[in-house]
Amino acid sequence: MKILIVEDEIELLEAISNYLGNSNFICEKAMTLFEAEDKLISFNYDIIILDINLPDGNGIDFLKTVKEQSPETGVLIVSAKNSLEDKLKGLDLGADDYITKPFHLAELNSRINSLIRRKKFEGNNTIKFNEIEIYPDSRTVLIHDKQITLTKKEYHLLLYFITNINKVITKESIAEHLWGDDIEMASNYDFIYTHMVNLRKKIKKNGGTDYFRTMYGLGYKFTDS
Amino acid sequence: MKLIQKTSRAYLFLSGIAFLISVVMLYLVLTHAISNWLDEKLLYSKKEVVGKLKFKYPLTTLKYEDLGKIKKLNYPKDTIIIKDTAVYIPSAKEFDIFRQLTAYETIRDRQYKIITRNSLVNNQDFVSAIILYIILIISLLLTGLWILNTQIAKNIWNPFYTNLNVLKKFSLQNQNSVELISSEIEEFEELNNSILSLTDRIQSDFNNLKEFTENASHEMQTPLAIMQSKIELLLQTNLTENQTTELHAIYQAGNRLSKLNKALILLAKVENKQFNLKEKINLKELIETRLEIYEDFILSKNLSIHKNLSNTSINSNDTLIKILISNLISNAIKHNINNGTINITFKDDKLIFSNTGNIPKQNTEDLFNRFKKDSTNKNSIGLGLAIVKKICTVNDWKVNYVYTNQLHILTIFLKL
Repeated sequence: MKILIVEDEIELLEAISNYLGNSNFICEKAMTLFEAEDKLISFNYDIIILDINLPDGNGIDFLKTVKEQSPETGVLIVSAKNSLEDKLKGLDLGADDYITKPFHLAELNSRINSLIRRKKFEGNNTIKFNEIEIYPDSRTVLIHDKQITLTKKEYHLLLYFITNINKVITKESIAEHLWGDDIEMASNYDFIYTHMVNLRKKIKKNGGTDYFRTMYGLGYKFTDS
Repeated sequence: MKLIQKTSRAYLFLSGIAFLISVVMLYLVLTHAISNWLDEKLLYSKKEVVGKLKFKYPLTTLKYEDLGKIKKLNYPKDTIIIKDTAVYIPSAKEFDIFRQLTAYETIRDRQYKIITRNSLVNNQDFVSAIILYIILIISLLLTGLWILNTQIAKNIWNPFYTNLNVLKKFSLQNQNSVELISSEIEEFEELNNSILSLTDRIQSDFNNLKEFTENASHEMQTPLAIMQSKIELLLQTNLTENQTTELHAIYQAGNRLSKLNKALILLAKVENKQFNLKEKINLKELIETRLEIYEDFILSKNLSIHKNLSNTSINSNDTLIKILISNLISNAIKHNINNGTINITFKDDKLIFSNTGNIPKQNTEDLFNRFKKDSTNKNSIGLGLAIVKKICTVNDWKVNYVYTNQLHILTIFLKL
């Protein structure tokens, strides 16, 4: 999968490409609109991560160009939270998703994966990790080809971890993913613990391996190494 | 007391006193003048009588014998006494007041007592007529002046009161500058100009401050994003336990900062009315979905939820109402006791959230102010109710909080 990251803040650009690069994506970087347009002519991308505020122009215009030249490319807008959110919703400019700064890298990765599933496979693909198999369109999970029942939160947890394999996922990021970022209460992390315990129990009970590692009080990691 | 009342009262009081004094004075002067004139008349009559006596003209058509006996009395020396006296008038059967001149005079070696008198009744009537007339004229003048004065004052003060009403409605949220009616009166015009420049200055100061907060919040987003992502990257590397703990502390602080930032930006956005408030929302469905999200929190405190929700749709902004309801629910959970209850009622134009809980420690008056929070709750950023209030304000809804019967009751008066 090939991703173009258009972001004028070099540090943020590096961080995103570093994280996604580790997740088996091929990342190309552009810091200006000009660079991005140049790259778009020469290559095909599955996903473009687009910061709206660029030094040499508005990302919205570039979004239109993308939609004209390669409509199959998924576009994820990164924006500073201002009125843009409404414009994206209201004017339906063709962005597939948007995320506001500041965001968790794990969340960005999860959004990109979900976008790829929607764009490339119309949701009909499966996510496979060793004996665990997830069918996102029907929200079913199989272990050793046997379906297991998960609650909504457990399912989202598993999907979140499976798209962020080998990554340390912080409790803060999990809380935001599960409850949304307008929920202040999610700072109560006991619930994450409870859901994690239940999820791990269910996987083990159905013959799966517990790939979760607890990271000191910081969060969890999903890994088979 | 209004200024016009105050001045016209003083004015009326003063003119009343001056009026009374002048009437009394007039009376005195008039009676004095009339007395003088009468006295002169009486003296003249006396002189006539004396002249007739001197030259033995008959004083009367009556015969001498008919006059009865002439008594010889010892009169005092020649004197003239003038005084008011009451005389019985047989024909009218009453006493009338007369001005009477009594003169003792020696004419041709004989002493005479000459009395001449003139009725005062007519003169008194004359004086009262004049006084009455004057009272009438002055009263007419005073009332006329008073009416004129109040009418003029009303016209003059009219722009003042209109402008006062404009000022009462002045709000910094409303970006329109105040529009004042101009007046012909120099002082009022000056006042208007001062007010205009004052409100303009306040407005621009407020806007600058608001812009600054907004810009600061927006500018903070990218550095925060860099910070957070860099820490997240760093967390992926092999760190010692100690390093991880320290890094996590930084990460958490950054996270809190992001939340605060997001809340401040939301507040600014609501303030700037950047939301379409015409969306149709089914409040019942929205509340139920929001409650689902909070399921974990509700279960952990073992709270029972009682809902009484009408199916009426409201017009507002979906995003804002989601935030509003989320804040109200989380508030009702946060400030609840274990095994407590939450009641949510939506009926007619009222949305009521009530929950069990301990007596509020802080002054409930500034509950809706920013950063007013129970110091015990470390994780709360203290903007929840400020956001609730702001969302209500932008929708033109009233919000009210009371604590009765161990219940925190928050009522929102919607406009359907």
